[in-house]
Amino acid sequence: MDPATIVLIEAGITALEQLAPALVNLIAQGGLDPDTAASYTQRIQTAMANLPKPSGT
Amino acid sequence: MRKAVRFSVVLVILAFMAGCASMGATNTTQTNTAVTSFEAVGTTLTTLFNQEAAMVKANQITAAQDAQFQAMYTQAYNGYQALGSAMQTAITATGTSQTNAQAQVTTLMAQLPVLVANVSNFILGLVPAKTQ
Repeated sequence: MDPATIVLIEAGITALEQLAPALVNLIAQGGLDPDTAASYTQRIQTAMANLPKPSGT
Repeated sequence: MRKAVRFSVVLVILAFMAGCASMGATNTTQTNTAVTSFEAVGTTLTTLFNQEAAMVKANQITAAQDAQFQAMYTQAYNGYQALGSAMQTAITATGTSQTNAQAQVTTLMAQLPVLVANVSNFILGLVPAKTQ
């Protein structure tokens, strides 16, 4: 395994660990201004679209 | 491939550092942390997918192994898409809709790490066996 890939995987797992508490705050807050909310939802949509589709789909 | 992987690593590390820097600040930056982490997980899954595809092209894994990977990756893909949709609702909705999104995000967030770990463990387990 390429060491760089292992680093990448570890970074992804760490990001998952960051995601949970950050999402709790995200849910609890509400009230983002429309422009900021639109910016975040656009980034989420882009990330979702960029993920390669599984073979056969 | 190595250059692409290293570039991806740099991107993830930069994204992760940005996320860390924003922790504990305002609500807006808390949301930014969630979005940045979500993007980093997507980058990791993409790299794992591309690495497996390269191994298939080089005939380094069997069709059965490829099918096993695709099954695991499909679960992670679907979990990621569902979480992204729930996050968008959580950001933009109010009232009951936001409460429902909270339940969805909680459920999906409990599942996604397992699904991603399955994919990464599969790749981590495959490659050493083929390089010995």
